[in-house]
Amino acid sequence: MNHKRYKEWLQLSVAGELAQKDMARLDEHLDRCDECRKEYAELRQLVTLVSEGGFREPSRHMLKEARQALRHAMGRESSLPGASRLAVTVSRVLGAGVATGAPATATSVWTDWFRGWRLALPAAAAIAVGFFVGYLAFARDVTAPVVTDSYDAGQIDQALGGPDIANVRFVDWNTRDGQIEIAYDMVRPVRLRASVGDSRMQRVLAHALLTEDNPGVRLRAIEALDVRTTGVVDEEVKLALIDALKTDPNAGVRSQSLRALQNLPFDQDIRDASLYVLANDDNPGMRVAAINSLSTATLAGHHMGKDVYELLRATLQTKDDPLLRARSRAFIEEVEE
Amino acid sequence: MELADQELISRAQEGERAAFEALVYRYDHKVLAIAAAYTNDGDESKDIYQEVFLRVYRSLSGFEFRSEFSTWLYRIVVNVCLTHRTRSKARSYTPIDELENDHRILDGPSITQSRPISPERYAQNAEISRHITEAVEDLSPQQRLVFTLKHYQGYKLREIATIMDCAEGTVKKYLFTATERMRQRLKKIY
Repeated sequence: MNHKRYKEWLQLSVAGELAQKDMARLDEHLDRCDECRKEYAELRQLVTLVSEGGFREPSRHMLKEARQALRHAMGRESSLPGASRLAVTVSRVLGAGVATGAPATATSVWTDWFRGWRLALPAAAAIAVGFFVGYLAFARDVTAPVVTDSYDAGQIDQALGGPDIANVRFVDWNTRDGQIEIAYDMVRPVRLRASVGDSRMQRVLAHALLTEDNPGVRLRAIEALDVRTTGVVDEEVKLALIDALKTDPNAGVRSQSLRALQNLPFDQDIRDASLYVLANDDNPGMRVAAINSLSTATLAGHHMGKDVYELLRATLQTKDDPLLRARSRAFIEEVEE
Repeated sequence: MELADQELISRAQEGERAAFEALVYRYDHKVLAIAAAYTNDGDESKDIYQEVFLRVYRSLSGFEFRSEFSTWLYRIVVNVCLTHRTRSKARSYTPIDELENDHRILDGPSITQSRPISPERYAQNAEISRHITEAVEDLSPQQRLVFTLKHYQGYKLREIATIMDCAEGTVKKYLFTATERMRQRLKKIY
């Protein structure tokens, strides 16, 4: 057997992938070959070094941060259903299926037609997108937003010639499998003037609360959505506030969301959201605020449920912030009186 | 009772967000671990994590159960890792170790139990880690992925071949080349 095969066996052996029968032959070879014996020792040292010093599992905190950021990003995705569906349609027409990485199927007529042109088609699509974006960017003046007292999607489209496409990004340009993936934003400039209780205004503000990068904008949105300002109790606004309470990276925004929720009629969703904060928020001040919220609701006659008390008792056993433990103890004592 | 993947996927395809989240939480620690092993950078690995699950979110409606969900998911992970561009070469990256130190109080004991070690030993380990990280970063994306899946995540070669949708011989070739380069590079610290 040539030496190169034994060198491969060395690697397979340290990787735990060498068959038993080949292991015996390798051992015989190692008894005779100094060079391979030395290399084997170095490979074993390398694997030991790598397993001890190379990598540590990500922490629970890192996983929690990643999940929070994903929820935030999914909130933005959900607000652009048209763009997502369009992306799906485009990729289906190109004949490669939607599922990234899955084996492509060639069942459609389009796919048959373009079988021989698969590699050229994504490049042609990229050029076509470039021309389209250029046309939109330069074909008309989009600097002046349309000022309107009412939000009429049809009128806006007519006035501006349809939505702008901006920020085209190539997400996956590996054309080996005949697919590419792009992402883009659809932007339509609008200025809306309406009462804070207007349902259209509330939809836009709820969207801003979950998607805007600037925390100042998100705080203003909460202020405008607060029922004390609007006089209107809206289910979608409540759900947006709950989402912000659970996932916003800014503690000030989460705090204001909780305050706005406290002004709404107390219900199971708000109770569960407060419980979520108590169990998961990294900020001890937020967890104390959640206890205060539950305490206020209890004093108003609402029933909390066993899980709340179990969580509070668990908090007493941890090495958490002393103020948090004191507040947990005080709440339990309030209820037991 | 825990729902099977198929049930969760069907419900998620009908728009049930809670089902999608449950599906994510079933696999996301593994996805984040692969991303972390591949990049050894906290922020980059979270970027990869997010990109993977956004792709799953966008394309789940087209999943037709022709393979296991985990196989489909890990193929997306591979795809995202191999096409991932770092945010900026000039940006100073935060190694996972430093992130762990910052959050130890919040997390309590880490998954890999840590024993008290001397400052000298800590410095020595940090130096070795740095050498290993640099050596891994010098590998090609495919070599790096195979090496980290094999030696950090413990996957078998045939599993890696399934995930990467290539022949086992190809995976071996990447692994042999990667290991040999690592061996030559790290000889000075043996």
